[in-house]
Amino acid sequence: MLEKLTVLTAFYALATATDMRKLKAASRHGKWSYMALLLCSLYFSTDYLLDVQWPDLQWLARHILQHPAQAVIETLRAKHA
Amino acid sequence: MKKHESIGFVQTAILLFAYLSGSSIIVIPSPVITYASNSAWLSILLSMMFGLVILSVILYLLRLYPDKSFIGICRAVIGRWPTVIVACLMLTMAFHMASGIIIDVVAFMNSMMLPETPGYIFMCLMFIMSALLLRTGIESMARMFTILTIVVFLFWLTVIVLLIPSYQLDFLQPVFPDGMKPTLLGSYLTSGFPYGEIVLFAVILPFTRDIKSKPLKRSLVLVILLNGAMLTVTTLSTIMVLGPIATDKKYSLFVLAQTIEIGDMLERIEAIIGMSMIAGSLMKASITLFAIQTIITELFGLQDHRLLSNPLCLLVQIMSLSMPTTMKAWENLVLVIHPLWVGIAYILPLLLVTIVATFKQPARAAPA
Repeated sequence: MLEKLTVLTAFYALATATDMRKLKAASRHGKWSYMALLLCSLYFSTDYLLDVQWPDLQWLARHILQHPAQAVIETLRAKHA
Repeated sequence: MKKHESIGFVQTAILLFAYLSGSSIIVIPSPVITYASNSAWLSILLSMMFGLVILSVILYLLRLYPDKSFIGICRAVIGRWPTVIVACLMLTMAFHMASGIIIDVVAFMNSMMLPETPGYIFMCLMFIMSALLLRTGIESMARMFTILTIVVFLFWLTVIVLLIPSYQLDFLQPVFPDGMKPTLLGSYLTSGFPYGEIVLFAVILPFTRDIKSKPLKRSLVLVILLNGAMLTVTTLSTIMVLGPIATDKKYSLFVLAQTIEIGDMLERIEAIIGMSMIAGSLMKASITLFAIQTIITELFGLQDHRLLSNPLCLLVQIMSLSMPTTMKAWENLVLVIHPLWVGIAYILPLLLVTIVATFKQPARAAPA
């Protein structure tokens, strides 16, 4: 937990420290986009930190595409394999 | 499209080569051989044809609207809200690709070179490099990747040439031990990765100075042919050297490099393949991140696209930290779901936009 927290703190410090001045001068759209990306990263950070396995892109893809993709594989797979 | 930055057609071709070859020359041969056995090289050639078709569609679309970006074309052709849907679809795949490249590098380093080092160390270094590259912009990236691509190509060529004494032609037969179906299965995989991913490159193509020029078209086709040849030669080498155990070896080019032993003076040169993997992955990740940044910037009409470089890299790094529950789940995602996901997120929207653009074309040309 402490290791993960340290890693995340280092990542966030690296990313945001160099952007402060730029962010102040940014347009409203720019600030919103920046914050939206940070919010998304916070979601995944919490998932990583607490190991809660929240839904993510892969989860979504697996739920929607696993069966049709598996059907394609089974159709094309050699019979004896 | 406001062109603050632009690159020449040779640089565009090199970027496409880096984007296609990136990690694929090391990652692809093993799963294709697992799927298609001895006809894996044919699977690659089939999917390369598919890649050429996709490239032709992209170039046709960009020729219809030479002054617009890809998102701009979507907006002009299908309207504002459908463009948002198309962009979101493309972003799901692009984010998965970017984080997947980093996961692949970590898996490679941990399994082949530095097993004790925590994955986040490699991620952090990739994060810093890709953020710096994104900040410098497409022009600097193109200049830097020219050198890196040449180095990666020379490393690849060295290994392939030094392996010549180990090749056993007998391993290539029978070509179709189980009929044609496994060949098509191999093509299904390689049509998704790397050839279907060409669609995302359509976001970067409008940065080329003269998008309509014939040399650009010719050089891009040449790049796909060269990439196809590289993947085919690597796959053939893997089969000819490893034979029946080729399916058991992940990162086959690295394993092949480990077998090289010329006298007592030239051996253990697999480190150069490790370097190629890292350099190739860095290039592909940076190009993918640049495409994501361009899509978001154009979707929200932002003035300064560099503002998003850091949070974007941060998001992708943390996504790759949190994503794979197990390596088996990750492999299932890449080998089974990824090609279909590419089809739905990249190829279908591209075809839809192109069909609508073709029918809209006369109406657009009429006032002129």
